[in-house]
Amino acid sequence: MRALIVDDERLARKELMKLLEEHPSVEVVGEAMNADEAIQLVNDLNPDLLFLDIQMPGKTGFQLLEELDAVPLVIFTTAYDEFALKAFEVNALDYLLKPIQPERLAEAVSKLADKERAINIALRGPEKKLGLQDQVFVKDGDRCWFVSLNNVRLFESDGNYIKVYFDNNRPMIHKSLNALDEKLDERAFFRASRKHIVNLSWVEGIEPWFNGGLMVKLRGGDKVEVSRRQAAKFKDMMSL
Amino acid sequence: MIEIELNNLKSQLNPHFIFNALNSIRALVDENPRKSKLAINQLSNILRNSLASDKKGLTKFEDELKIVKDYLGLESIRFEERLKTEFDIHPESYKFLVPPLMIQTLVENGIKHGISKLTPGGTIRLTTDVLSDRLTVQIRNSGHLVNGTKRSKEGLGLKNSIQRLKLIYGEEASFRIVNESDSIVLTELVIPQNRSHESINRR
Repeated sequence: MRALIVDDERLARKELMKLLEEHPSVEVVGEAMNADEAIQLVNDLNPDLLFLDIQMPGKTGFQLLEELDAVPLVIFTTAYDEFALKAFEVNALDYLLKPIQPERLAEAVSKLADKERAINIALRGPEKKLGLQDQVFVKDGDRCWFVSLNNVRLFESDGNYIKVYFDNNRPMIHKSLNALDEKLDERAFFRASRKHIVNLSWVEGIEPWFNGGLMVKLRGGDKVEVSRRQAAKFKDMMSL
Repeated sequence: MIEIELNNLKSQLNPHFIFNALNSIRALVDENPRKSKLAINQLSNILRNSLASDKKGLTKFEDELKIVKDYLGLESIRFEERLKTEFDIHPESYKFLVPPLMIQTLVENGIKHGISKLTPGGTIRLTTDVLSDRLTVQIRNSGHLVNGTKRSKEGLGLKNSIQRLKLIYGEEASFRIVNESDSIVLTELVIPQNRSHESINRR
């Protein structure tokens, strides 16, 4: 597993490196001391895993994740941060408290190895487009999630934001639907209209609609209109 | 009554600081064992004083200054070249008693909200002056106060300090925090000599 360490303190990075010497399955490919450096390195090195500090000058670890398209596996590292700990407990994200206990690190690494295996078995697209196996980071107020795109049935644009539909949640991300559309794998996601992108694997039924459009029913009951312009393309994709 | 209130307002060490310090020390054990030993002593001194300060109303300026220096020593290990410190202490300052951990809290505030937010870091400068039986303590830190948008949590340390001053000294002490320039925040504390306030020190 190729890992990137993100922490503004040199000694904290050094200590983690030292602890990771015990784990040959984790190869540290880079270190970043702030969010901007980290974003650059994530794009250049494409690591499988981030060890991520939360409080950093400039942008926080959460803001960093919000700026990434596809998010690698993440283990948060923090000394003590009431707000962050709350977010972790609610969503069971993996985190390590500094000073890091070697046993806890070992646990986190072995949990990751399982996850990694699952991801590797799944097919990864040839280009760097976001497919069903990729995960994105979504934060809404106090809560945050890593969501597998598999579970996202619908993206809906709302002003400068996009509502992300998964389970019973609809948090917002600050992005334009056009920008997102370019990133998504077109075999998995379909631009139904100016307002919507649907996950094709969630489509349950299709009905003709007014003006030559279509009405798509998703598992779970959401209905999305496909504009006339897109309807022909959609029929192509959904037929043999 | 006042004592109970004071106890509730007493400065508390920030756990974020303690655990970050311990984490730096853990790395330092390999890199610089001597420095790590010094750091352990600095941290013990701060912890001991923070526990003991529950029991006293006021403390000697000298002891408070030692804590501030130990505290800054530890933060320097963590921030390395990103934190610079400067002291300019008036020799008569040592005649004064001060509320325990108050100067430390204000210095910590300057680091937490000022220097730690700046990628290149900055400077903490502690200056004292004595004029007509009053001690002026000035803390300058790199950074900028944003008016109005401060989160209430951030203001708690300052609010507590102001209330503590009022309870101990009435109207005789003063406190202010201002942007001295675009890039320097000044926190200033003026306290009277302790004569009439010694009673609070005997419990």
